[in-house]
Amino acid sequence: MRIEAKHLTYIYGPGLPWEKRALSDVSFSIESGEFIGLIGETGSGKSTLVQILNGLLRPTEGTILLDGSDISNRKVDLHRIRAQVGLVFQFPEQQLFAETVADDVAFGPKNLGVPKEEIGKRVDEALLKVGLRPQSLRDRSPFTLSGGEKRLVSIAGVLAMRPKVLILDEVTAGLDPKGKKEILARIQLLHRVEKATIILVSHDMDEIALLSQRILILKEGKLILEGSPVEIFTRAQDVRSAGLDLPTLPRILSDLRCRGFQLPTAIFEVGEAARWIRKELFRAAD
Amino acid sequence: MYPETRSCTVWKLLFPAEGQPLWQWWIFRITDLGIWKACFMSLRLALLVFVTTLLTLVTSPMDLTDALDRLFSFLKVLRIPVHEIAMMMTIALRFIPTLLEETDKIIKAQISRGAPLDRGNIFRRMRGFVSVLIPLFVSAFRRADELAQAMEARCYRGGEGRTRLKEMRLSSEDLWATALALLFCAGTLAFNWMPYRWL
Amino acid sequence: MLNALLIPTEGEVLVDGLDTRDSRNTWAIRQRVGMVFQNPDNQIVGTQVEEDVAFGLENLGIPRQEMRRRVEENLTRVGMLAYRQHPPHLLSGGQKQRVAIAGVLAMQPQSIVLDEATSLLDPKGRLEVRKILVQLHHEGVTLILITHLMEEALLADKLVILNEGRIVLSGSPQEVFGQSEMLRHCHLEAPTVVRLAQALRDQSVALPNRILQVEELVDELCVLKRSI
Ligand SMILES: Nc1ncnc2c1ncn2[C@@H]1O[C@H](COP(=O)(O)OP(=O)(O)OP(=O)(O)O)[C@@H](O)[C@H]1O
Ligand SMILES: [Mg+2]
Repeated sequence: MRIEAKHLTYIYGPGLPWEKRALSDVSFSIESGEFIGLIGETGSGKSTLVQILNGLLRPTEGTILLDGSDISNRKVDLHRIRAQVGLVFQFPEQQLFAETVADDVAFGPKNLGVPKEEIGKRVDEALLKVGLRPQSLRDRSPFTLSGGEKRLVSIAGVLAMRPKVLILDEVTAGLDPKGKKEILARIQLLHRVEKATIILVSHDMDEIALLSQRILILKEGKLILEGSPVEIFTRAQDVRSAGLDLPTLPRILSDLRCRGFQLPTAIFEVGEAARWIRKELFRAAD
Repeated sequence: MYPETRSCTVWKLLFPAEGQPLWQWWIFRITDLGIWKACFMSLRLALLVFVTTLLTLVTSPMDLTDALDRLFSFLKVLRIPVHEIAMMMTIALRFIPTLLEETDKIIKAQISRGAPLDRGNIFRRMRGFVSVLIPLFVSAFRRADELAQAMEARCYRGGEGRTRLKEMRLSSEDLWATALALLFCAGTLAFNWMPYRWL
Repeated sequence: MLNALLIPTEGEVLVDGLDTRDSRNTWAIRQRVGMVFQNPDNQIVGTQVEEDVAFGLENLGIPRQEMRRRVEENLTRVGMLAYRQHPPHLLSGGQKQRVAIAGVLAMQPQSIVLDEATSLLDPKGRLEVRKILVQLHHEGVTLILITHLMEEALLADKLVILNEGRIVLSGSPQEVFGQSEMLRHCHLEAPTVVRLAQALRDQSVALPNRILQVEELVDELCVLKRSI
């Protein structure tokens, strides 16, 4: 699904004393099947933007086109939008409520009016997509699962609505390294195998650099930078001025550059960085 | 004025119990006493709102609970856990904003999963509310649990032997304020016994 | 368990020579071992910053004068004095954790246990808290840091790695992060700097084993470059 945002502005509590302009004049487009990384410091408007894309908030100004049709129009049925653009909130496991995992995952499709026979199929399919075994999990209470599993189940709850675009707001926050790795691997599979369009919101630059094809950077509600990870993290100065840090390797490499090494900074893999550094050391020797 | 106050006043105005009718149409009737009572009622409600707003504006909730703790400490003799009740109120006050924020977030999340919170018949809506209430309870219990642990880790063991950071002392201003409040109450009572016709 | 919130089923915990199994020691132990928890929202009791910092002192029955002094001193230590009258829900995550740390410090514990105290914070908040931790360490406070973040584990003098309830590795960060096999077995990974240094050593770049911080690596490489 192609997403086109034109001049989006969002104001919380317009006209009130605590009026807050969370987004101003943001325009971008996302092609079908892309993996987008959305970053920006705290309060830069990332969550506001994804809630607009999901149809939870109506933009104060501007338009959003999903496959060419305008969803900011008041006549559009927002429930249909929410099914097409799935949003996984931060700490989604806090929204689990049903007695069994299957019931919880079924909540979305049931609300969409999917026929009963199909719901069971969708539940199993969604659980498999996040790497959980439906047979052993279906009838367990979601509250007895581990933190990582709970999170996977809640992602399955969104996938069961069969969205064409999946938005994940800080999906690895608070997990242990193993849980993080697992979730990221699943998301990468969804992107590669299912050809899902993915928007990943994160504070973890390493994660963003490794996974995204294109990065959008927000600062104080404005879209200030846009490009591939290599393009973005080569511009270390701009990234830092947005209140963000570089991923770990580019940070080391840019420190080395400051000390006279001639190296590219946008490298995200340890082995490759080591090769570049070695080459540079021996180039100096020749 | 607040909408509740307004509708209540309108009710009094249109359906008075007694008095001389001034104007009548179908079941609606406006009487002199009705007008009087409506004015009285709106004044009373406005005053109520005004006074409580004033109280919350000039006194922090924490001071209020502290004051209650002190004021009712004599009840401890009757084995009423005054300190615990005051502590509960403090914690409730501390967590209200947190829980409100959380409710907002959960509602949004469930709506984005298509929860029928804003449409459909009453049964569908009820199911939608369950999906908000249960997570809210679960989270409130978890918070309570963690908070209890954090409090114990900081040596909390009830009211015994506790000292307080904030000192509360009765000053002459407090005495004047109390006297004024008592006078006001007495005046109100006296007014209440006077028949309307005297005014 | 270290501060007698849990009592061991078997074995004993001695804090400063006090046995946690003896309930008479409980309060003395909790005063000696302070705890900072993961969720900043669920450990702040007061409706004002200074009230929260005073909470532990109130429980200990400290006189008011002394209490005021300690509240001010410790809010200054974590750089939150300017916020003393603020309601906690208007603070950022990092600020809340700093208030929680001040509340524990005010009780003058001998050591502080931080249970994933930064895991729910954004990078800025994390940095704020880490700065305070480094500063406290310099002041001589014993810190026990429970963390999933390897970059944070580097701050420690000594590391202990637990897997399935057993100690599998312990030692200096250099020693522990050298054991990549064992780490992988516990689903952990050495910090990027350490792995990069390792990769360079594997490609026969002569780097010493003790590199942990970015600055160390950069310095060493500069020295190497000049010498080659
Ligand atoms: N419900 C609300 N009412 C008023 N202001 C709000 C509301 N939600 C967010 N804001 C404000 O809008 C701005 C953008 O918030 P948003 O949540 O989109 O930021 P974010 O980039 O997601 O931050 P984070 O990284 O902390 O999640 C912030 O300044 C925030 O204070
Ligand atoms: Mg956000």
